[in-house]
Amino acid sequence: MPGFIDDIVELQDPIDVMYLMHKAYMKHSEEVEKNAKYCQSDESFKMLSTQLSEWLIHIYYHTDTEDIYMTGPLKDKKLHDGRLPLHENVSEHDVIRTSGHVASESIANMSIISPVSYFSINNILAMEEKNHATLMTKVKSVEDLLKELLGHSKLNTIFRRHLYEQIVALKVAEYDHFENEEAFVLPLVKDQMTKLEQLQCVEKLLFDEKSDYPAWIYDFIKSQLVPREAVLLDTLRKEIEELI
Amino acid sequence: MDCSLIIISKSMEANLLFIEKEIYKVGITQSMNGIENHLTRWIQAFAGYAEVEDAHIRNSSTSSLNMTISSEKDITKDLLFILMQTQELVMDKISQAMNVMHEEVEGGILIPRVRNHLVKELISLAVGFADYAEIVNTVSLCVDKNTCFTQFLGNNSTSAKWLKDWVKEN
Repeated sequence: MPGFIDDIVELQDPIDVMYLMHKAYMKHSEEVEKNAKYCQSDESFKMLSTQLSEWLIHIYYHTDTEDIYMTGPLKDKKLHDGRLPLHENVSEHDVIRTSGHVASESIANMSIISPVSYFSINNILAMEEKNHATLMTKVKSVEDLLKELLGHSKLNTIFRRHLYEQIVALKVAEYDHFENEEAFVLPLVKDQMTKLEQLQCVEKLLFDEKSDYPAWIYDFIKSQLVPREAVLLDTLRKEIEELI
Repeated sequence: MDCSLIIISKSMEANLLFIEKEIYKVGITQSMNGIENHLTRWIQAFAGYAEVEDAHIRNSSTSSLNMTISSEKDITKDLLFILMQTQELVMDKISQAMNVMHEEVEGGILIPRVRNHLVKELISLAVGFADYAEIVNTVSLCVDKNTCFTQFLGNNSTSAKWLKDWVKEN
């Protein structure tokens, strides 16, 4: 099983395209994470926002399509430690979706949600104040005071570091998921799907039939690969075109 | 000269970045024992920082140290409670990082997946600490910074000497 930075030299089965896809996605995630770490200016922040959206569009499409066309038709098989790989795969997709949602919500609502909310003031004060109305008054007073004392620049810094933390969490969830999928789910695909079925599944993963431009996934993956790996992808595309 | 709180917190933030970079060197020029040692020293510095914070904010009878808001106000009580909980959150994050180190690292070998988890916990700790230090810096008021330095970093006690040396390293 190749790592996410190893060169991929062959695709033994059509479903092995997942190695290329995962590698491409991880490369992009690493770039977004790096940009989130050093993001300072408004301009670089706009770029980060675009990159994150791109990441999420891909990963949401990828996980949704896997649920329907890859793990959906398979039968789960208990591992020696009792885990069920397909069941876990679906749960990991949910973790990724939640992590992605947290980060994208932060960006979408950055103008209306104050970074002071990251201090969990509501939850903390709720430990001692049980009356909801009084609690809300206290929370507002503390938040207003902190906003005033911290000032715009520090609030901005707080927002950025929390966004960075969220992006790191998303990347780690994605990494764990890809690794688990390659180790435990791909063998099930190879056992239970014929070559034609795998090609049909791969076609769904690489081409979005509902889009005006179905090759948007394919193009992105190819753009992230080294030339030799891009040739593997092109060869697989030809095979899909011939057999499906 | 800055207040001791600022000096220590800057070092602590820089040190976490340093540890994060060192994690990528495990198996090359760094070992897991080395990482654990760095983190243990960070925790020791955190205890020192908490002590200085306590003297500045909760125990502000010293004339040179005080809060930016009046201790007479009701909101101060809420703010102090938030500060205490935020400090506990930092301690929870320390435990989480230590747990990854003790439970996921096997035989001192750091595989990429566990390295990711460790880095994630360190970043979470750095964010938690930065939040905590931000609130501390915002509400504390250090009138006489020379006295503050002498009291916490410039005296001859073993802990002050250790903290001063650690700060210098960072």
